[in-house]
Amino acid sequence: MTTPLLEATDIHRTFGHVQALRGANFSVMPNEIVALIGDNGAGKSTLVKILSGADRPDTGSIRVAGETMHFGSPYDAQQAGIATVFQDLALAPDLPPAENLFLGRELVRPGFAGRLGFLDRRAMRERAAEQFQRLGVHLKSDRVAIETLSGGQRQSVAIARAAMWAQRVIILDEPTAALGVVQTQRVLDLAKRVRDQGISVVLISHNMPQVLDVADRVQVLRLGQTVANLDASSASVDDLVREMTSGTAEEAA
Amino acid sequence: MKWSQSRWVLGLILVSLSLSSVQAQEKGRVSLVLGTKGSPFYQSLQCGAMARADELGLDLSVSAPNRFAADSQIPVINAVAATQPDVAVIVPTDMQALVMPVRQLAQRGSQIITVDQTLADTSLVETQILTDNEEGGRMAARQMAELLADGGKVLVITQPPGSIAQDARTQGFEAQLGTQAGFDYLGAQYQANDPQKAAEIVTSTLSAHPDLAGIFATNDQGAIGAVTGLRQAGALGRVKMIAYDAASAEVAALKNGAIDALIAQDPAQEGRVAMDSAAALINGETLPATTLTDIVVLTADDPAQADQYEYQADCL
Amino acid sequence: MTTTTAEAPTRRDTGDLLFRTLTGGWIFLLLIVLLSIFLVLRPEQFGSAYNVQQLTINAAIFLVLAVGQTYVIISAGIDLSVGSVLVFSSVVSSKLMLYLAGDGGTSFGTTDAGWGIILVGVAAAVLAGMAWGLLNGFLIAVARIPALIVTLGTMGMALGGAQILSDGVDVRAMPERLVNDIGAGSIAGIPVLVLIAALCVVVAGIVLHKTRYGLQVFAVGSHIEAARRSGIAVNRRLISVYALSGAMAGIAAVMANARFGTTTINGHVMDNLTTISAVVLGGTSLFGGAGSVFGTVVGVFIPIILLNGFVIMGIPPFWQTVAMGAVLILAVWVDQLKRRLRKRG
Repeated sequence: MTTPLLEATDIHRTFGHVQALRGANFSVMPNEIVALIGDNGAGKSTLVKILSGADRPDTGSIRVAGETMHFGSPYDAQQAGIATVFQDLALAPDLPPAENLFLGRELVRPGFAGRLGFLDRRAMRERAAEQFQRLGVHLKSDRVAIETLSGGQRQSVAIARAAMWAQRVIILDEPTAALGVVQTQRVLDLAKRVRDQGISVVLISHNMPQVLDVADRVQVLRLGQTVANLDASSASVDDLVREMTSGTAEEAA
Repeated sequence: MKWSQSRWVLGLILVSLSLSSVQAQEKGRVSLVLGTKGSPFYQSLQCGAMARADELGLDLSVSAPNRFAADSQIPVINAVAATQPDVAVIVPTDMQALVMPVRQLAQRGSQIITVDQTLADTSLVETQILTDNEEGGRMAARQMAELLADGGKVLVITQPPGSIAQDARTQGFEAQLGTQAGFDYLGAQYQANDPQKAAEIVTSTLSAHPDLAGIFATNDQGAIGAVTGLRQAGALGRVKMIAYDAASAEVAALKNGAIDALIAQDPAQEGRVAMDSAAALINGETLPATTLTDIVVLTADDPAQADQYEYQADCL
Repeated sequence: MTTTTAEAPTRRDTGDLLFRTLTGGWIFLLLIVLLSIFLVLRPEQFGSAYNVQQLTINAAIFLVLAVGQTYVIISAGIDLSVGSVLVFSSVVSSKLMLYLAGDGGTSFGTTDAGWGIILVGVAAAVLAGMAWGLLNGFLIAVARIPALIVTLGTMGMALGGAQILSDGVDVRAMPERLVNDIGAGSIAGIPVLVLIAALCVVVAGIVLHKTRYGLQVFAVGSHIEAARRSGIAVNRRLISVYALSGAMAGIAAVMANARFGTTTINGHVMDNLTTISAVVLGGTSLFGGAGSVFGTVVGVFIPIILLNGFVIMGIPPFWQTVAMGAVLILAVWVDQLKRRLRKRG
């Protein structure tokens, strides 16, 4: 059996008297889109924060490609090849797409000029254009500020950036929550293309038909525990709803 | 900039250059640069100068910086120098920093008159029109003795050190007060044209010295603040108040008894003398190095005189 | 003033002339229009070599201050302390040079101090300015106190410090060489003060628009959380930006000492607002993340040219104040229009 790219085992996390996670398990295999669903309060966002390095579990282990990791910050997770696109996207709205793709990893010119910190904007634009083309992202201009783009395009830029720097997994937190029908479809297509590039995608969503349409596998959280791990091709919306509302951890095991 | 834009701009400049006609150089062009905008003293000086310039047929233009400070005034002087007036009448806001700009003004062919304030280097200056500030300070001290026959504790409110005129007023006052028996001098406190600060000085001094007998404020802002402080402390009338200058607020305070005496200059006269001097310079006459203008003591006993000397911008 | 940094990287390729005029270029057009009007009305006075030279000298000190302010405002901050830091640095520098100097110079209010002493004075001014900037940056980035409050506080502290060091009396003895060769000197017909300002503008413009550091300053100002999550050392960037603004105030202090031949403790009260309005006039967003050094250069010149032209034309002093205020409001209004236009874009 292949080793999961990212595997969280028996994760517990308590905030005061609230047990957000009570032994959750989660795994991402190579080349797949795996959806994480659950009702409000099931512990999805806590699990996402732990997977992305923004929060630390009380107990439980996280393995990346079989190796145990302790993420101190989202930056650590990124270094391990796992990038997360949160709902606020974390883009610089005043900067153009290429500059956003390379935020914090700017390219400098070769030689002495580079050591002085001179930017190689042309290389940044070219590589950004390649990345957008690879993923089928079409922007009206590559030199305007991000804030002038539509919501779907901004989301696409954020995903393209995550896919550029994550070697293994990108986590999309409710990527289509604020989008219309057409833009939603574009973002989901983008997620598929990211998978086809060899990077696995974790999709957090409320939208059951959407999840079944795009995901290869669905994992369901309920009351802080993983209650189901379903093959998307054979599951129905009713199955998902039943697991979300009354599933138990024993079944999943 | 895009080439089409620059062509447009270039066109505009060319049009403007071709339209420009050579300006008629009139005889007797005089520029007056005041110390600051909006001061009754300088506006009164301006009115005196404008009236006299009319009589003499001089072409006078007046300008002033936003604040009484060298960094604010120098750009104004530079712009005046660009117009190359025959005579420039300047109120230098700093004796040192204004030397270079005024020298450039002189090098560009203007004759220089300073008024009200002085420069460190007077070799450039045809004549200085001044009042004897030290004598004004002594007059204030003598007036204090008249008001307080038995002497008492006296406070001075003045500008921070560095203003020649205000420093001289303080020195004259201190020197004269020292010769008068019975006075206990509490020293000088500083406010930078800030009535609020002057009021705070007065109220806190009254806390420390409830028997404060007299205050001398070396300019109008200090006086207005000091009166406010005295009123706030309920000490109006009990503490004798003498102030320099005769701004409208000070004259009003004099008439209602809040101020006991004013040491008034005559800015309108300074303006008139400045224009007379300018006309004389244009006619090729030489002038004395210094021209002193009057200082008078105003008291509530003679309201007509107070009205006459009140700093008024009656022409604006 | 020509620099290689003529355009902000963010808006180079819109192509459409009208759009560009309404967005980036319009304030530059305003400058050209003002110049044209004054040139038409008073050609041989406004356009004289003398006047042009004076205009640039009057702009020099503000340019240096405003360049530092540009960095600060692009990082979504504000620096109210620049004028006071200038005064503080000028007092420290001149006191030190006076202490080190020997005899008096050949004219009133000068010393015979050599270039070595002047260099020490320059270093002292820059270091003193930078120290205030580091304090500003530390309190803003690490202690997380709002920039408006921090720099309002240090504005008072720096001025008070200058008054304590000097007893409130201006230091009136400057090295003669500083005053003559830098304050009043020129190289190849260009005033040294203007050369210093141009050098500061060009270097600061290149660093801001062409380097990784500059881009990260934009990123921090545009969305500080995004910058932090991308691994940009946000605190170090913020501290460095305020340190730069302080160091620029130190350079400006040397220029002021050289130009005025004295410290000017009671001046520079409005320098903070003058530079902030120049930066905003130049199209830099008060919310951070967008702006350019070239715009700031234009923004510095507009009020200076207005004042100069109005004095030359003999327009009454009060009207000048009104006109300057109106231009500032107009500038910000157009800036907002252009933002709305871009959003709708």
